[in-house]
Amino acid sequence: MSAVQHGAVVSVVQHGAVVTRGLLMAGAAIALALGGCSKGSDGNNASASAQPKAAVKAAGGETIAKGLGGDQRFVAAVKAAGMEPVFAGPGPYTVLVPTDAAFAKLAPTVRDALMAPGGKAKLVRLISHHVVPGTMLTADIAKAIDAHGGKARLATMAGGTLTATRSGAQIVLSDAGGTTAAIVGSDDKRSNGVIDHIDTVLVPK
Amino acid sequence: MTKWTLAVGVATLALTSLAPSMAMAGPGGGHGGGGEKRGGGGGGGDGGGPGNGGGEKQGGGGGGERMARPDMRFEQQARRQEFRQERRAQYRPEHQRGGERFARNEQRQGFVREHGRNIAYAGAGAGAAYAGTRYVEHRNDQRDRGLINGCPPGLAAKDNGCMPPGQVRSAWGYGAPLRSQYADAYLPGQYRAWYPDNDRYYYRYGDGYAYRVGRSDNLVSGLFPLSGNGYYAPGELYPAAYDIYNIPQPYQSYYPDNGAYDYRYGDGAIYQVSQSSGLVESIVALLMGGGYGGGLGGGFGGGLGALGGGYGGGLGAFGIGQALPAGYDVYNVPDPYRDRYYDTADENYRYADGNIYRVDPKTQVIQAIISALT
Repeated sequence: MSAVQHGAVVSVVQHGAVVTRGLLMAGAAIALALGGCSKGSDGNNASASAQPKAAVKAAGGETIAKGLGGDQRFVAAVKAAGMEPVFAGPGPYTVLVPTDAAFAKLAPTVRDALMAPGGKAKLVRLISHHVVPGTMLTADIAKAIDAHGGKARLATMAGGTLTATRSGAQIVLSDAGGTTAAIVGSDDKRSNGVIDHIDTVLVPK
Repeated sequence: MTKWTLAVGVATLALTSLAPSMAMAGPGGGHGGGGEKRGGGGGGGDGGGPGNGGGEKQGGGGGGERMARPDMRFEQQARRQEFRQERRAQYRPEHQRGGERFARNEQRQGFVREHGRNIAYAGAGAGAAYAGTRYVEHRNDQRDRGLINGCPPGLAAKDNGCMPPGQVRSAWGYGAPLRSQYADAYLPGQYRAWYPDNDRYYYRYGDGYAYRVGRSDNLVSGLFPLSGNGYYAPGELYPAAYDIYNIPQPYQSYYPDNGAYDYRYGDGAIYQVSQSSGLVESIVALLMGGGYGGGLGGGFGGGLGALGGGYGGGLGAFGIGQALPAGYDVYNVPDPYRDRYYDTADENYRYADGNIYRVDPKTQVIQAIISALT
């Protein structure tokens, strides 16, 4: 499935000229995807325009939203949740973006629950679970782990807490539900925060 | 821009394929009444309170185009007022929706629940209107016989928790004098900075709710819960009962209401709400809000920030003299401020919701608050 999805995505990217069709398909696909959320399409007209001018100005030019282009599944989830403007706004936030591979290994039961009619609030919460306030660089987390006896706590915007520890050369985040995710790659500093990638989707309990 | 646009379209396709079951999952039912997580209390209200139809900023005179076209502005406000009153009339009290967040709030706010029936309510304040109500969720209960939607027939159509019409106005707070026990209850922690008293209104706290009170008449002109740990998903109705301009003051310059959209705060997020439909269109910002740890022991309902020392903090935990909530072990000051506010042996700095907090590293007590919004 993953390969098929990637194939579909790549084909659209390669035919980048079909922007309008892509947008139309986006709206239709979301409405279709969210099925029973009959108002879902109305609720998903989110775009940069949802951020008023003052907020856009405060967000700066190179936002998190612009930096998420390669994270197709996360972006899709954000769009489905009607949260695109969050990452185009002032923030600042640190976003722990699950890679596409991380989404691919999400348990089908979890995925279905998120995408089922009425699951949008869960999707919002899941995304918020991957956002922490301010600009938190990987080096900051590592320093805090060392300063706090091997564990550092990170409050998420969803109201939960992630615990950061070291695992070899990696920093691993675990949540109350027992899910663990390793930070992969390096910090992508943006005008309204920072993007880091993790190898597993953290599902809030 | 192009990159982002492409990404959106592309990603949507990815989502579609990510969840193949979605396409056939739903019967097309409405989302408005089925929110999974809804705060307890609130609801109803006749919208008659002063200032209900517009936000503070508008009431304060507005600006720009609105000022240049006063007739249109008033006409629009009248239409919006009328629409909101219709919405309130149609509003389904949140306690009737059921769901996860309501269940949590029941525990916090003192509901005693038995066989799907709210048989007692120990709290006071906005939600106290439920005391003694007899909303019944399960139709197979022997005691349901003769009830319509859980109410005696004469009250069923009101959709307000079975209250007689005459009680609605005062029970929900709109248009009623502020309860005397709240008169000196200032908003906890950072909420006092979020909702500062001004020439038109003053704000007070009671049982998890912020009350906006008109200075001229001392009547409640709006109320909303300060925390609830749940989100209003786009596509749902923003609760009409809380429909006043309640964007935290530090964020008001970013999110003024405009000709098409209102911006509203609730449950840790700022929402863009369609003026025509009342639906949440999108989430435009996430805020930590009360700072309590989402079911991890944070104090809700009467914990005026004093519970901040415990795990998860308390409602309004980001006040000077209070302990920073758990979860701020890591330095997270925004980039532009890092050269000025960095950790030392005597001072730590942490960021949340537009503020940088200077914290004692040993006690975690907040010593100073520095605004970090431009």
